[in-house]
Parts: sequence; C-alpha cells; structure tokens
Amino acid sequence: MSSSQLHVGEVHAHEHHELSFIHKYIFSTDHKIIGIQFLFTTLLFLVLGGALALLVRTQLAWPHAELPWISSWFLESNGGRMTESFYNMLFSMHASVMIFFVIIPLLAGAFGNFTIPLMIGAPDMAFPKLNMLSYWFMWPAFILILVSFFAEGGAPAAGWTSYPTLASSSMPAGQGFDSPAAPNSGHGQIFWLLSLLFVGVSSMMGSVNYITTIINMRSPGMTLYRMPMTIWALFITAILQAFALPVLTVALILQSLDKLLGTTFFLPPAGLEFANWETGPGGGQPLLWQHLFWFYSHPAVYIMILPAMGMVSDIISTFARRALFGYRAMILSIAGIAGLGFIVWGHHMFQSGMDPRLGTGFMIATIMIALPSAIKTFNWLATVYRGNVQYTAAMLFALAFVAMFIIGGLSGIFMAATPVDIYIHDTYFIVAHLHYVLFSSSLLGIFAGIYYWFPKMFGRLMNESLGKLHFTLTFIFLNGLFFPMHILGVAGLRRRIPDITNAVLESPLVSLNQFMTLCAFALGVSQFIFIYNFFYSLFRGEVSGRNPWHSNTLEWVAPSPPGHGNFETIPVVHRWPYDYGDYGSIDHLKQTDPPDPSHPSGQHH
Amino acid sequence: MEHAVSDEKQAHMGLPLPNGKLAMWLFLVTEIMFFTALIGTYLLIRMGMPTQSQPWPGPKDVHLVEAIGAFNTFVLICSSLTVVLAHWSLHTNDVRKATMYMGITLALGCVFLVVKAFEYKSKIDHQILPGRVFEKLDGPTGYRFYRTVEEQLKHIVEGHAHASEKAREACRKLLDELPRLSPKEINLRIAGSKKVKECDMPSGASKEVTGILEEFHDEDLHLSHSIPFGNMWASCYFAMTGFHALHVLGGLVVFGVILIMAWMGKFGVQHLNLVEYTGLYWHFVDIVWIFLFPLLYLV
Amino acid sequence: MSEPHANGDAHAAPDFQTYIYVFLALAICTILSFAVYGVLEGMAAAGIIMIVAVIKAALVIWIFMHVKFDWPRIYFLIVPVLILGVMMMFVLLPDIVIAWHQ
Repeated sequence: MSSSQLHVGEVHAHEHHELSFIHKYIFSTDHKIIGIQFLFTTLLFLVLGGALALLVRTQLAWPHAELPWISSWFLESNGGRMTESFYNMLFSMHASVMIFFVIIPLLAGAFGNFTIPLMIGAPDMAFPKLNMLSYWFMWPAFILILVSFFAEGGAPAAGWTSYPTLASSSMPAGQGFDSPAAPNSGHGQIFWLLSLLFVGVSSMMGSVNYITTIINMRSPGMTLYRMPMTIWALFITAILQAFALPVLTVALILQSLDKLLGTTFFLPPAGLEFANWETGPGGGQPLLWQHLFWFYSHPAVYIMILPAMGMVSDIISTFARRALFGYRAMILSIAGIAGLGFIVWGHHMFQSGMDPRLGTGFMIATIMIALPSAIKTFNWLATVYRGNVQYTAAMLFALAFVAMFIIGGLSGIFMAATPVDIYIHDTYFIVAHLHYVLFSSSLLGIFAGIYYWFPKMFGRLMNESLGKLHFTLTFIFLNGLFFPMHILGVAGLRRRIPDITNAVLESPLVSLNQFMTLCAFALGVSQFIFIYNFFYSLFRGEVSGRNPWHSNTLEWVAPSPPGHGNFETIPVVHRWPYDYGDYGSIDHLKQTDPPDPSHPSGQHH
Repeated sequence: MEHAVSDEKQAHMGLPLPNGKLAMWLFLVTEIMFFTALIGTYLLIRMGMPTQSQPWPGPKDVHLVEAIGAFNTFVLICSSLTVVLAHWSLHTNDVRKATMYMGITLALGCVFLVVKAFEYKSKIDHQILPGRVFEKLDGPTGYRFYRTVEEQLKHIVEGHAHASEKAREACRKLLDELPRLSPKEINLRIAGSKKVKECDMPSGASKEVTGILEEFHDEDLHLSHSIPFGNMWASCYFAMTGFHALHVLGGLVVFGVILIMAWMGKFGVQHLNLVEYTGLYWHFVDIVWIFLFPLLYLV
Repeated sequence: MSEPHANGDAHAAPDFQTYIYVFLALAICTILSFAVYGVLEGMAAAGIIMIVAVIKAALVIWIFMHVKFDWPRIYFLIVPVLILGVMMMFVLLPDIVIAWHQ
C-alpha cells in the first residue's frame, strides 16, 4: 500500500498511440468526450422538449384557433385544430423527454462524467469501456422514443406516468398491442417502455462506474471530506439511481409483459368491460404500478436536483470568494434528502384511494424533507453574505437557482400536506411546483454549470455579456410563465385539459394563459442567445487559461481542455476546496497548495 | 519527494477492495432491488387478491411438481459449491482443477435450464399461460371455453391423444352431452367437485361429481378447466422464473467464455479475480432461486 | 480496469472442508423444507420453510460469497439495500393486501 507513495510526483507513463477519429471522438472511452457527447445529445432533446411545450402552451392559450402551418397536421374534420389525443400526446412526451432524456442525462451523464475524475484527481473513470457503453446504450433509447412519434396510433398519450389500465390494456387480454384500449397505447407505448428500459440500464451502468470511481480512485490526499460538493452530490445521486432504478425496470417490464404477452399484473380480477368488448379476467392490481413507478420516480426528482445543488454550491463559493458555509451540514443534508426521498413516494398518490394511515406516514416524511432543503438554502445565503461577489453569468444562474428553489420548495410544502393536496392535486399548482424545481432550479443550475465548465471542456470562454443577457431574459420570462401557474392552480385550473373554455370555472382563466404563452415563446426565443453564444465560443471564443475563475478545485489544475490522463502529474491534495478570500494578499488556496501555517485552512474538523 | 506534513499519511485513498469487486457488489445491489420488486409484486398480489371462494391455485391445480423444483434447487446448490471450489483451486494455483470445476458448474447450470424447459413444456401443454387460462366462465369467456373443450374432446375421442379406452369412452359421453351443459357444468364434469372452487360451482349443484381428470390420471388428457387466478399465477410464475432463467443463462455465457479461454490455453492464475466475481454473481443467482423455490412451489 | 493501488484482497479464505460442510448443510436444509412441506400445513409450514430459506441464503452469503471476510468493506452496501427492500414490501401491505379485502 505504501508503494503508491513512491510514485507520487512521477509522470504517468502513458502509451501515446494515436487513436483514429472514430476511437477518439465517437466510440471514445475518455470520460471527457463521453460527457461532452451526453451534453450535445441532451441539449438537442432539450430543444425537442421545449418545442413540445410550446405546442402545449399554444393549445392552452388559443383552444379554438386554427394554428398557422401546423394545422395541416390535424384533421380537416376538426377544423384544423389539435385533437384531444394529440394534446395528451404532447404533454406526455414533453414530460418523458425532459425527464429521461434531458435533465437526468445532463446532470448525471454529462456533468457526472466530465467532472468526477477531474475533481477527484483521477486519470479517468474506473471502467472506461463501461462508461462508453453507458453512453451508447442511450442511443437505442433515443431512437425508440423518436420513432414512437411515428408509430401507429402515435406517441404515448397516457401521461409520462403511464398508469394502467389506460396505458396497458388491450382487447382481449393476450391479443397483444394491436388492439389497445387507447389508440396511443399500442405500439407507441411499447416503444416508450422499451426506450425507458434502455435509459435505466445506461444509468445503472453509469452509477456503478461513478460510485466505484469516487470510492476507489481519489488521488492522494483527497479524503472524502475534502471532496467538492459537486462530487458529493453526484456520489449520492449515483447511489439513489442504483437503488431506485431497478424497481422502475420491474414496473416497465411488468407493463410490457401485460401488453405483449397478456399477463395480468395490472388488470383487475374482474377484467375490464367496455361498450362493445371486454378483456379477459385479470387478477392483478392497477395500484401496484403506481407504487412501483413512484418508488423510482420520487428518488428520480432528487436525482434531478441534487447534482445541480452540488454544482451551485461550488459555483457560489467560487464567485463569492468565500468558503462554503457549513460544508458538513451540506453533505448531511444531501444525504438526508436522498434517504428521506426513499420513503415519500406515496405523496404522488394521495388521491389514489390508498389507506389514510399510509398517507399520514408519507405526509410526515415529506414535510421532513423541507428541513435539509432549508439548511442548504440558508447555507448558500450565508456563503454569499458579505462575500466579494463577482456577478458572472455562471454566478447569476447559480443565485437564481437558490431563489427559484425557495419558491419551488415552498410550493412543495403545500402539497406535502395531504388535506391541501386533495384540493390542489392535478391542478396547475402542481405544474407550477414541478416547473419551478425542474426548469427554474435544475435547468438554471445546468446553465450555471455549462457557463462555469465550458472553459475547461473546450479551452475557450463563453461571451459574458451574451451570457448575462441570456440570463436576464430567461429569468424574466420563466417567472412570467410559471409564477401565474400557482394562481391558476388555486383558482381550480386542472392539468392535462386541452380545452379549458368548456368549464365554467376555468374559462375566465384563458387570458392569463395567453400571457403565459407569450412569455413561453419569448423564453424559447431567448434560448437562441445561448445557442449562438455556445457555438460561437466553441470556435471563436477567447482562449481561457487553466483557471479563468481562480477556483480551488482540482479540475482547474489540469490544462483546458485536459488531455488524455487529465493531469500532467498526479495531484496531491492538501486542502479542502473552499479556501477563498480571507487570506490577506492571497486570494485563494487551491486544493493542491501545500499547507501553510500562516494561512491555515478554513476547514474545521 | 518530501512529505513533511504529518497529516499526509494517507497516500492510498479508497477502500482495500479491488474496483472490480466493488463494482460487482454494486451490480448485485441493483439486482437485489430488481428481484425484491419482482418477488414483492408476487407476494403482495398473492396475499391481497385471492378470497375464500377464489383461492390462489395450488401446485396440483397448475401442474407444478414440487419434487422437480427441489431437484433444481439441489442442482443449483451443487453448482454454487463447484464454482467456489473453482475459485479455491485457482487460489491454490491448480488451473486444471479450476477449469474442471468451472466445467461442472456450466454443466449443472445447463441441467437446471433443461429441467426448467421441461417444466415450461408441461405448462404449455396444459395451456397454463398468461392470458390463456380459463377463469370466470361467464359470457364470451364461457363460450370460448365451450369451443375449446369441444375441440379437445374431439381430439381425444378421435384417438389422436394417447388415452386409455375407458378415458376415451368417458370423453365421448361428455362430448355427446356437451350442447346441453352450461360452461360451469362442463367445468365440473371435467375437473370434479373436489377440484372446482366455490366461485366456479354451477348454481344448484350440490352433487359429488367425479371429474374425468380425477378418474383418469392420464397425463395426456389435455382438457382445460377453470383455474381461479390462474392467469395471475402464470404471469407471476413465468415472470419470476423467466427472469431468473435469463440470469442463469447470462452466467452460463460467462462460464462458457472462461472455458473457451482455458481451451485456448489463455486461462490462468491471473484470472483469480474474474473467477471470484463470476462466482459472486452465480451465488446471487442461486440465492434468488433459494427464495423462489419455496415461494412458488411450497407455500 | 485500472487499479492503481495494490489493494489487499481478503487475506483469509475458507478451506475446502468448510465449503463441503456448508454444502451439506444446504442440502440438508433443502431436504428439511421439503419434508416440512409434506408433513405440516398452512402458516406453520410456510413460516418454517421461509426461515429455512433465509438460513440457506445466509450460509451462501456468509461463506460462499466470502462476506464473512469482506464484511467491514461492503456492509455499507448490503445493509441499506436489505432495509430498503424489506421496508418497501411492508409499506405496501396496508394498501395492496389489507385494503383489497375491504
């Protein structure tokens, strides 16, 4: 075990064989390339998910209008307007794409892959070939989900939650998916199920890789309590994925079997009776799907926010030039959120008719999650307080994350209380909450991460002014779009309804919907600033040095972009990542800077 | 290189556990969650759904032979032993013995799958497949049952099945009476009053009827009868044993690869870790069966 | 697989005899559960059979999978997953099992 001490400081002896273009950029085993592959593909899906959302918003704002250009897609008999099943398909696929093909792969796949080895001082992941496989396993998923749009009957329209028996029954049982109960739940649903199975396998491979790498491949001196928050968050996220995904896999498999082989896992014992046909007898429980699905999907929402929280902690500390307040508390809070996240899934099912005693348990656990979330929020605020704040684009996005997360988290507490949830369930209040935590928090966190790590990934800086403009417009319009949803929800606007003018209660709310749709389009247009900035800077951006942000973490020690093997010499770590600011003439002390009695580390053990 | 600072004694980070072993245990953790969800589904449905009048099918109802399951359990336990002995032999540098033990493990795994195939065949022969088991003989289902039984009886009567003369006679009698009987009465005549559950008893039937299947224990008399929760049973059975069998197959593929490496002379002591990790996976597969066997066959 | 450090593997390992004894114990347990199945009925039989199954699994895990020697290094993986798995099934009992009967 002491043999490694002799090697510290020596240059890695690498075989510098030239790799072909395909091995270097396409079937690469280098974690940085794989991370960038994830980044590019998921950003494409972000555009798709956004387009679907804009179509949804158009329908909500002008339910009876004939839409320009795209009305040719719709039946003449419907006056060139969207049909209800088309609308159902839109919101179902918007959610599925955003959750499984944008946020999760961006956070875990792109940022996880890129940052983990760099921030812990490792030359690559523990299993580079497995890493490559985990990216390429996403491609069948991508293809299947795209093909589902063109399947017979269209893409799935039973919601991203895909509840049986709407999504799963066919007539009669055992006849397969050629005669589905709902038109979209035939071939389209099968493609959706298979696509998500591939996503699950890819994520599980990634989790195994990340956990092994973080536990076993840290460079000398990088103890667990010297790891940056980004890594802690990704570590705990990987554990969440490993424990929760298999249950989703089972649920997807059971529904696939129900559709393909006529099994009866989710078909009630009496079977189903429709106007002109009936299924065979069942024996199963539709509610079981909800339990299995939400057992994964609740930890999934934490998977979608924890890495962003970690990244934001590092970004805020860097640009406030202050040590992160309460490092250990931050770590414990992430662990607390993750742990509690496993026992709260029932709060998505308060209206399912489940046993009230069970509901009470879920309610209490859900309310408890507010505690670690609040600790984190206060710690971020304490980090910024009296700091020498540099308002770069990355910092603006990170601060907005904190602010928006407060709103999203507060709305969450409302729905955690079962009596309140009974009123606001399936209204726009829920939609407001989820968009505040997913778009206004996770996605802003992702933008912060992109602006922050772009120099390390590509060796060039993104344009700061454009970044600030992107931020300002995005911030204004997302609030214009999502904040009124709280009001609409409490006013009684139901979700997943294409034509709200049908209901007396809801029809006065159309004008607010129109305002929101205009904001949505403006929000979409604002993203073009980001796209332009991203691609322009890729080729013509100002060359960044190794450490443009004067940050402490290890990845800034490597060249920008890092070469094969990441570091020229194995970095030896002497400090935690948050020695910023209070050092007189010295602005910051990197993790590799040797200990100095005149500048003691800010880390208190 | 000077390491003057006293708190830098830890130059080696991480657990004293090879990457591969940690990764294999992590993979097994995901597999544990997978089978927990699958077995949990079975347990919850089985505990929750059946009623007094509609009980869960027992092994005799679904042509499940417990002794075969026990034999398969024994086969897997033996294979667990041989795979761990393969690791032990390699540990003591005996590559030849290790190869032999791996070969035996592969053979035992194949035996398991062959026996499983044999069991599946018996289910297929009796149409105990998800979505194909007759339950609730009312309405269209009852009519389909009538037609199916008619076909089956004709098949036996015309001598295509290997049935005894007495059995054929009984079937011929039933076939003649068939148009006058309701589906539930037909069911009663086939299965017998001892086997037919309360929910499937035809109204007004208090007689003790000896069913054709009861009287003639011919294995080739493939006559359908109603099995309450039979579809659910078949769904659970095939899902659980099917995925277990897929996992067994995966393990056998790895064993096959190792044996091919040995045949090519490339297998040696340097593969100690590989054999250990494969063994870990194989033991896990064994443990899943240790739980599946009692849950499906015995309790 | 890059393993930059010479990680010490399990220094101790069971010997041939231990493996054989465990195998015999497993075989006996299997025969035992089969016998109980033939003799007893209902909840008593089910209980004994499942306890025997747990014992068999524990033997395989402890000895065949070397967990006896690796426990300090991997308990943090095994313990949470067992808690999670068992908990998941218990939590669903009221909803799926009890509620249906009402």
